[in-house]
Amino acid sequence: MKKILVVLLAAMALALALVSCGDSSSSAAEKAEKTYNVTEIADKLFKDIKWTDTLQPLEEDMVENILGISKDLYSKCRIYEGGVSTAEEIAAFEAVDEAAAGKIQTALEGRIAAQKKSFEDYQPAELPKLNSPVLKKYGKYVFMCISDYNATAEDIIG
Amino acid sequence: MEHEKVKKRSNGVKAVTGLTCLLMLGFVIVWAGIRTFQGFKSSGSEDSSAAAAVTTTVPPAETAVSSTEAPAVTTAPEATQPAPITPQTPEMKFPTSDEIDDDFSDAVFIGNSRTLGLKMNCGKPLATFLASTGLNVQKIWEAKDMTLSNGDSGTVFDALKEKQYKRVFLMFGINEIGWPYLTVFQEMYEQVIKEVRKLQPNAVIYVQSVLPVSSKALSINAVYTTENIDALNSEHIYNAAKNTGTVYLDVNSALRDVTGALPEEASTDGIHLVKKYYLVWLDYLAKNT
Repeated sequence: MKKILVVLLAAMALALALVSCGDSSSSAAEKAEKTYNVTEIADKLFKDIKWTDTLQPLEEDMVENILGISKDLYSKCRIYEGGVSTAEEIAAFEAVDEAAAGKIQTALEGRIAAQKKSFEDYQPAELPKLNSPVLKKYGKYVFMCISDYNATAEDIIG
Repeated sequence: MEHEKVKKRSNGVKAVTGLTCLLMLGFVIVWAGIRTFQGFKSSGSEDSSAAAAVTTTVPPAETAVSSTEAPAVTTAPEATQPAPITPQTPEMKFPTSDEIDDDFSDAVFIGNSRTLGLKMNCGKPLATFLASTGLNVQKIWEAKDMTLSNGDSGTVFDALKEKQYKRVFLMFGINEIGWPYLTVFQEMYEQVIKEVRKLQPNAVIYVQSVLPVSSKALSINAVYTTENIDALNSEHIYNAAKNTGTVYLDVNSALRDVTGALPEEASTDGIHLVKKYYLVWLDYLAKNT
């Protein structure tokens, strides 16, 4: 009887584990297939998050100068930048394809690393934001949000 | 009879005294009126000369600060004479980036976080910026914050070796204003300017005055006052330009309010500007260089 119970419990645990794995992988797959409106998401991040800095939209012809991301990698983007006194920033891209999205993600990781180096002596209070940025890649879409409200950012991005 | 004589004499004295007082009063009124009229005439001419000084703060491009063509505000008759403080520009206009008729494609901007803020907000993709947060006239020699054409990191001077520019805009001072000896800052700044001159022999080098700060900056450091900024500019930045034969560019004048400070709305921390004020700065450069 005990043996039967142990076997049943083990089978239940295995079944539960398989179900949860299945759920997360199907969720990731769903997100990769999903279509995002990068402009709307960036604008919502801008409006709904409580920023300490005054963020302004970055002109598209300045994206490569500031973020090091070439125009041929994306079809749409929306960037909001602060005025240097904080590291607060929003970046949302619809890349031309998934490979380009990978390059964009790498460039944004480089941006975060460079900002950390800039702020560590200059404004160390900004480092917590940079140490836990929201940086998401779903298929050909890439989102970055550096703020004090990661949970809100993640809810908005989805 | 005797009594009447005395009475008549007394009335006469009173009449003369009264007449004299009236004459004196009339004289005082006329004299005061003349002096007041003269005062109005002379203050009108002082305002005109001040306005002339405000509108002509930058000497011709090829001319050093001590040129005879330079207006009084940027020319010092003696080597130690500080620059006078430029009065506040009466009206601040806020252009868009597209309205600023200069793409700065022939220019390089060198400086600290304020210059970095200008880069992020200027909307001029053809301009070159060699700037980093915390950069100062000491760190500039060793800080490898610039990305060179081969992808390596290098100093500002490494980057300057890669391309020749027609205009070089320098702005340092806000990170050094708390140094114990600002004469040391000036000497080091002059060394930086000389190195830039060596690497950019054909460029016009503009040494920009330090921008004003607002009261919010005091919460960062008590050294950030209008008085300290003005003293830094008039006693050290100006003389660094003069001693190196470069052009002193008083951008501070374009951004200060009637008290000499940065307007409160211009900055969230008192030091770094919001976008529309960066464009005021840029517009000043476009119009004066």
